[in-house]
Amino acid sequence: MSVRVEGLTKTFGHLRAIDDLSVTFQSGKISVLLGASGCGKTTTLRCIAGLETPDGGEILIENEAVYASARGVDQPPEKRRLGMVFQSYAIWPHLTVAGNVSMPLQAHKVPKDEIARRVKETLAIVGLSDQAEKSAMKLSGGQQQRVSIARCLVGNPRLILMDEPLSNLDAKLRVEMRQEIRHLQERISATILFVTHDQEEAMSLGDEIFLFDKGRVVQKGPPEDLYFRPVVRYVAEFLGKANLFNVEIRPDKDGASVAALPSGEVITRGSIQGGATEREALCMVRPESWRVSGQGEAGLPALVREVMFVGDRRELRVDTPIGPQIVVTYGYQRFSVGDRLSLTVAPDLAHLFEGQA
Amino acid sequence: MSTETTAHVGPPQGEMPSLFKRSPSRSLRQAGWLTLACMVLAVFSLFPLIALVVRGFVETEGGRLILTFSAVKTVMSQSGYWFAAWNTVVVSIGSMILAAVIGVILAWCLVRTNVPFARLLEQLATMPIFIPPFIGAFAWVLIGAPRIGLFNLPAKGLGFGEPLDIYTYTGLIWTIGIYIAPYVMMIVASALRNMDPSLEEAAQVAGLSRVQTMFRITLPVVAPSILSGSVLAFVISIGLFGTPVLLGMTKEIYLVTARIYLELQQFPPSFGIVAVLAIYLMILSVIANLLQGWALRGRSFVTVTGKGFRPRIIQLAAGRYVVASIIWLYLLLTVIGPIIIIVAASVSTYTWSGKFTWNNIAFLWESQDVRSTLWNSLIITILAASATTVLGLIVSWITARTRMRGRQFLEHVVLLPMSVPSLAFALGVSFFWLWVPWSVYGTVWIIIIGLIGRYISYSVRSITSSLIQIHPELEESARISGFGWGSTMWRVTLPLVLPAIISSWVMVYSIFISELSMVLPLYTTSSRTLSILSFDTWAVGEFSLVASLSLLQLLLGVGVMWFVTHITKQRQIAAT
Repeated sequence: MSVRVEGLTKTFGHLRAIDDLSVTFQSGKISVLLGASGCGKTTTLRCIAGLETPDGGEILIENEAVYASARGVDQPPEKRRLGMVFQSYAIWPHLTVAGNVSMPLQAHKVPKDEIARRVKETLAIVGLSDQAEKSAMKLSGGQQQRVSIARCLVGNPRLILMDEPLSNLDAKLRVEMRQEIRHLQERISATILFVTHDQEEAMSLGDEIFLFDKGRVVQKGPPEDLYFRPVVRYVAEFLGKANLFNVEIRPDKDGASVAALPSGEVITRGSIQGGATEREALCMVRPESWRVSGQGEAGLPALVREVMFVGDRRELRVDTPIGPQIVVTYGYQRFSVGDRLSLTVAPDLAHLFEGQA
Repeated sequence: MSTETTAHVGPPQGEMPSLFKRSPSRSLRQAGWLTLACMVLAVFSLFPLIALVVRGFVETEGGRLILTFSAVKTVMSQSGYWFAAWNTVVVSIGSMILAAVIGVILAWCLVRTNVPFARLLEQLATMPIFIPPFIGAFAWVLIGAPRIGLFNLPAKGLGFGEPLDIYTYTGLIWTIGIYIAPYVMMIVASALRNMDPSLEEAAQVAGLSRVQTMFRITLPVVAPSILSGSVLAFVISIGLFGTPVLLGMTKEIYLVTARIYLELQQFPPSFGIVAVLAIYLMILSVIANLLQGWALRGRSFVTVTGKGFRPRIIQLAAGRYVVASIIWLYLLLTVIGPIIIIVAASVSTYTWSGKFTWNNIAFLWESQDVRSTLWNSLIITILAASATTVLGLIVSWITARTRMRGRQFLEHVVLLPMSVPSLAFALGVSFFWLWVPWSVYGTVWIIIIGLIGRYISYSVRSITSSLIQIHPELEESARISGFGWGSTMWRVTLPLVLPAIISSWVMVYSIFISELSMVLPLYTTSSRTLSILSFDTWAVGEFSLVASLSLLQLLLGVGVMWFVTHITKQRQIAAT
């Protein structure tokens, strides 16, 4: 019971939009397809929907092949029993709200009285019961978004596809709708594939994130895994801000110490992943992972160059012997340009990329 | 387990395996449809052009076709043909300049000044292009012809001689120019409207005066669209038939189209010479388009963003009424005056006798000729307009909505006849269908086929422009909802493009109902149309009858057009 993609390939002219992609999306979960524009996430979604014909590979929904190039299977979109929310909402302007929502049921020849009942129920779920007879174009952006979600839910689709559905909303509404989608999903335990380029949205919404680059999935897993334990540099830089620098790991009696290169200040010591072998590696420290202490303490000496106050946190740009770093601090400690500090990090928050020094 | 499930829920097409196994992919089936569409359109739009070119170099000799340059040689060696080509170029350039001047002034007055009722005036100012050239020219004959011109009569009585003579180069240029000016106006007006007003504001902040801003910023920015509009006017002008025949032939100023008409009157007509002359027209319009492309390279400043700018309106005090009177004067010269004069002529016993009669009007329902040609005109127009719109919708959808390979080819084929004058295209149609074994030639069908091929580009353009504004996701979401391709078209696409479909139908209808030059090479006695009847009536000099026939045509064309657009507008208002 899942959505499985096997060896999927799609090219547009010379561009490889999807490059031999094999991936499984779990049912009853929100899987977020994340990536920069042109990474193949939307094309993958559209191939699953049947709106785009792949060049080769297989797509299985609940073990039923909806596309399989080897066997010549290619179901048209209307046979795949899906729901989809589009970036533009795709509200049909010539129909009312109820007219829009009832279309999927009409397509499946559901009896009239049942259509009326289910449209009413679904509109109640999205909170639009009193707008049913309005022209869909008279609604606000957020309300249109709800209509489009209602239209997608009404046919009890086995899989829901969402293509950047929140990108046309303003920032506040976006956060609200994000929570609503989350609640909705928990209520009906739907399977949702959600495409976005917004990392914050991906992390707050996804049970699992699939980070795309150049038509492939670079890393998949729960948001925290991708954020704190990226497998490659690209993931670290795409999700949030990252300080990346080379380090030397030196085993000692407590585990190991990690020294920033080339100057050699020890930034952490304790039990380090693979701390028993002495080696060099690429290290990532998230800006908020830096522990800030006063000048003269052990750690990486830092000179504050820039202080940005962003309400709940302060963002510092500092100069260190290994180059500029970003530091984020929470709390009430004030900093000003020219302050001298020391930076250290907890051993489990210094993430090492093995073999990528 | 997975194989079991797959076998179980396998696609329902499994019942007709042979058909679908051979062409598993949807893109293959699409390719089939595309090929079919291409073939149909090639027959309508491409083959006539090929036939026309071939006909210029081929003669039948003893039942077989041979390659020959005799027609080309004849045309090249006789000064009369050179003179016709020269006349066409001179008259078209003259009309183009006149149309550009009028068009730019009108556009600027309508978009950039606070002239009263600008919206309404702009709609009215496009009216002249809906007056068939034959009728516009005829009205100006009644106004400015020597001896009978309404304007010349009082002047002559007062001893001023005859101030106007419409049967001259000036008369030709004037009459053509004023009627094609709206094309320039529409293009320039939309450029002025889409121009970012901050371009002008920046100039004024930088210290340029209003007049300087106009000449150094506004004009250069809209220059490409002035050029486009002028080339369009030029291309239309070289292909005109009614005006040059009515105004030029009396005093033997022959343009290429008039020459073609004369050659067709010969018995037996020399189709080779006719074809070569038609090729002249094609070459002229190709040259004009190439020159435009060359002049415009890298100069399209006005990007149509679809973002509505509020144009900067220049607030005139009393000047706004001066501007309004300029526009009203233009309308008086092109639409109001001519219609009044035609009405007056149709209720006179003979032109400007001053005696009133209903006879010419009564002729419209008493004459058997009017009845049969009206019937032909209506059949041809309604069938051709409907077919053009349906085909146009199909082509638009294929080019705008699919990624089929070869769809650009389809678009090119359709747009090709757009720059070919109607008369030339119609000749190509007649040549092509004469070679084809089916007997279409001589029936109303060949006229319908010709009109479709020549004008399908019009409906493709107007429907495409509406289709690309409809987000593809609207159709995709219908597919996801469970509708097949057909139901999606029926329930989503068609309702959304319906206004464009209706306006495209009305547009081609209004062209077809009074089309003269397309019909002229294609009709026979059994398939005469109203426009041919009034042309023949003009040829025998029954001007009062021509006037009443013109009224009927105006009523059928502009009248119906106004009626339909009015009704659909009412419906749209009611629906929202």
